[in-house]
Amino acid sequence: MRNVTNNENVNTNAFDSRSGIKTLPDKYYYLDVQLDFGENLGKKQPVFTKELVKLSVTNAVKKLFGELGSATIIDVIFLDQSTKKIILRCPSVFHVKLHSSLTLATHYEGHECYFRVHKTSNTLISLNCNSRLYNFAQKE
Amino acid sequence: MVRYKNRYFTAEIIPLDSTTQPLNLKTYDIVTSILNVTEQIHGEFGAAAIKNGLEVKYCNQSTQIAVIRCRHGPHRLLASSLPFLSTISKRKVQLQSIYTGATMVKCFKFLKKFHQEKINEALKTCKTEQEKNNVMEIMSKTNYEI
Repeated sequence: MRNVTNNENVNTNAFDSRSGIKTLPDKYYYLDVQLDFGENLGKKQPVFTKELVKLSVTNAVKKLFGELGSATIIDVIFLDQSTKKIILRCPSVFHVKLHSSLTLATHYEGHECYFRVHKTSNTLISLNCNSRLYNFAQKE
Repeated sequence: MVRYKNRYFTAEIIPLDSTTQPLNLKTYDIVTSILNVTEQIHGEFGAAAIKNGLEVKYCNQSTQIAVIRCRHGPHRLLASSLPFLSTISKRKVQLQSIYTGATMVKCFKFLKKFHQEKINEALKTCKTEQEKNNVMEIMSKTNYEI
């Protein structure tokens, strides 16, 4: 969540908004990911649990960034079995590395697949809104 | 015109197994084991980052010292993974990084000082003149070939 403090409490040179509230750098980053198996998925459907998803994500990070990268804490916050949609949480300094290792990941539980990253954000709630659906037309 | 910056790691290769056979150090074996250990610690990204410009410039069997060249920048990745290097061509070893220099000349200047200190230490432990002569004789027999 966004860390908000009062102007009086923190004496830094960070950006000062008009309301007198300044924001600190965010601790976590959230990634909206969907697993895509394509059309040639065999008869045996892969099992989806939070643990298995976390394992495959950690393996993907380990392959690209080694043991040092896989030591970072990555959480699976949300998992939808039917749409294969996952929401991951990682420290904000790591989210570029996580994004790139998800892009280069090729397997989930022995099945060929790819991770499609729909959206990344530093707040969980902004994953839910899509600015492309905004309607700026004035009401009559 | 672009100048490439390099970093040279001077490392002492200490054999850990009990056999008294001399380390048959080959530059290719050292390079492959360095690449393997960097891939383990920093992954494919780390291995690919250090691969460009990685070279063993100097490797001495008798003093067990190697000078490894790496590009400036990814040398941090190499430096952090060097302590985890444990095998070179199936021999158990330990790598002690003793100096990091920007030029080979600086590395060799350091090595000269390092060896002089080592000789002085060895001479201090000698009690008779005969022992001192023996030490100097053994030291002079070491091959310093580049």
